[in-house]
Amino acid sequence: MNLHELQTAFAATLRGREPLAGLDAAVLAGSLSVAERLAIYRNNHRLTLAGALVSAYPVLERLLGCASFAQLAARYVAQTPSLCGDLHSYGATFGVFLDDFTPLADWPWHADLARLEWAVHEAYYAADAATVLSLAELAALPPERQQSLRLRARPSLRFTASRWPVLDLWVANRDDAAHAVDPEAGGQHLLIWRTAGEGGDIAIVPVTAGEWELAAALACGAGLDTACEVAIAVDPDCAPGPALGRLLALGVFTGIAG
Amino acid sequence: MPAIAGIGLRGDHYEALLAGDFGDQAGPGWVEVHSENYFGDGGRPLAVLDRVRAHWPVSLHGVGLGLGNADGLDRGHLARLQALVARVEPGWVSEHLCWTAAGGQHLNDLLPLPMSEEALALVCRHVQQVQEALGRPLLVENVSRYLDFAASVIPEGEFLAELVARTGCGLLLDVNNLYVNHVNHGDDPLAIVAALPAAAIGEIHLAGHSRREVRGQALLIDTHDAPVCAEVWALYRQVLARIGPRATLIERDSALPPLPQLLAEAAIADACLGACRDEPA
Repeated sequence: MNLHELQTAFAATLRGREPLAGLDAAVLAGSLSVAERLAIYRNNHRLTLAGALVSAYPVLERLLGCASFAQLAARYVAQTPSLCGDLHSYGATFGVFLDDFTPLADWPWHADLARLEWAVHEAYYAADAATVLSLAELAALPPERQQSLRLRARPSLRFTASRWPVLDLWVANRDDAAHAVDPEAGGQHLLIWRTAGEGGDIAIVPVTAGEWELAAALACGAGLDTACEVAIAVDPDCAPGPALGRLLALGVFTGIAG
Repeated sequence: MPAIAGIGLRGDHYEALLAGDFGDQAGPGWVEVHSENYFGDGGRPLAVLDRVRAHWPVSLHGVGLGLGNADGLDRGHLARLQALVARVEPGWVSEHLCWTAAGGQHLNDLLPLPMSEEALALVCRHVQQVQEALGRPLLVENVSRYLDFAASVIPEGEFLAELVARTGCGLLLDVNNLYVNHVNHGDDPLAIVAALPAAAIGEIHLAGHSRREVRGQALLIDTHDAPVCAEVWALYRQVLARIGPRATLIERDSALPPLPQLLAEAAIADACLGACRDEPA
């Protein structure tokens, strides 16, 4: 067994695909069996990945309780390998996993809450941007330039939309003083970003469907006129001018892209 | 890095450190962080690290590069490390003598290598690759292990000494890992240290471990969740007597105590370093 074969077999046992994978000849047993020795590494591996989920999804862990979250994490870890040497990137698909997790089918908001937590997690580590684009800056441009204008979104800006009040659930379970939230209280469109300034703080703000679509279209690089059309198509009540004014006041754009 | 005691910095201690909340202890002599915790593009971790760097010498300690990965080094990971090193200008950059990934799947653990010629050649190639990318020498750290390979034919001390000779890298000597391997496998820690080129050892790690019983057999797991134990302190003093004072890190990754408790352990290391200076080997 060369080094490549050894590591391939070792990885297969750690991921639980094969109990020994031919390692019984490559590993010395001694006072413990080869299986017992490999089990130590398998256990470490599972605890490490489960720990990464706890770090990224603290609110979900509080909502479900440590024991239930640990069971859920174990299921996810078993079917989801880590693809990066930086553990902070592990767990991005936890929301998708929860979509299909039948035991939670009667509590479908958990998946969206997971998506909100991942958005917060990503925003926390996203690039800094010191500037904030103001309405005055925009208004100073000649009207013919404003129409096709493209804006630069804050690098940390993320989007979550849910049929459930996920921000209320997030707030209610953020600390130990959990209070009840009616999951049927209605959906929320959320913008998530990190504020300008050293380190910055996480902001999660509910906006209208129109404001959300407008922000998303602009963040994807659409010109102002196109983005407004998209917003009105999705939300006929959306008044693009005030909607843009609100987004600028929130500070989710850093400048003019062109 | 100065031959004094430092502490591993984790997120839970950011505020206490920046506020100078040291209780009745002196502040740390220097600070070490896990490189991967600062691989993000921005945000609070990097902002804190910049401020810490303005007050204390900082070293970068990698846990995810995998110098022993048979599939080769992850170039994206190396590029992230390169950017971080350029930003922080750390006193030391260290990685482990281990492998971490195979077939594109990361195990996110410090997995042991067989002490073989094949592994030695591979690690030498990767250390050279990293040193060329970073434009500076790397420290390579010995790891704990819970199994031995039939293919291991080179004693660990000789393996590390040869790595130094072939690549010009330095060593990070983890005294707790020596002790864990002593209990788990009967390794002779002082024989390993005796085989190392003392001048190449740039830094020492001290940490706690946990003890498990498996079928009546004591097994130590390198968990970094407890204070440094008496046996490791004793071994540390013997190591210092042999190699002289070195920058020494108190490393704690989980079950973090309040910052002053970590600093109290660093003070013990400083006292050992002082005693070593007074009575040179």
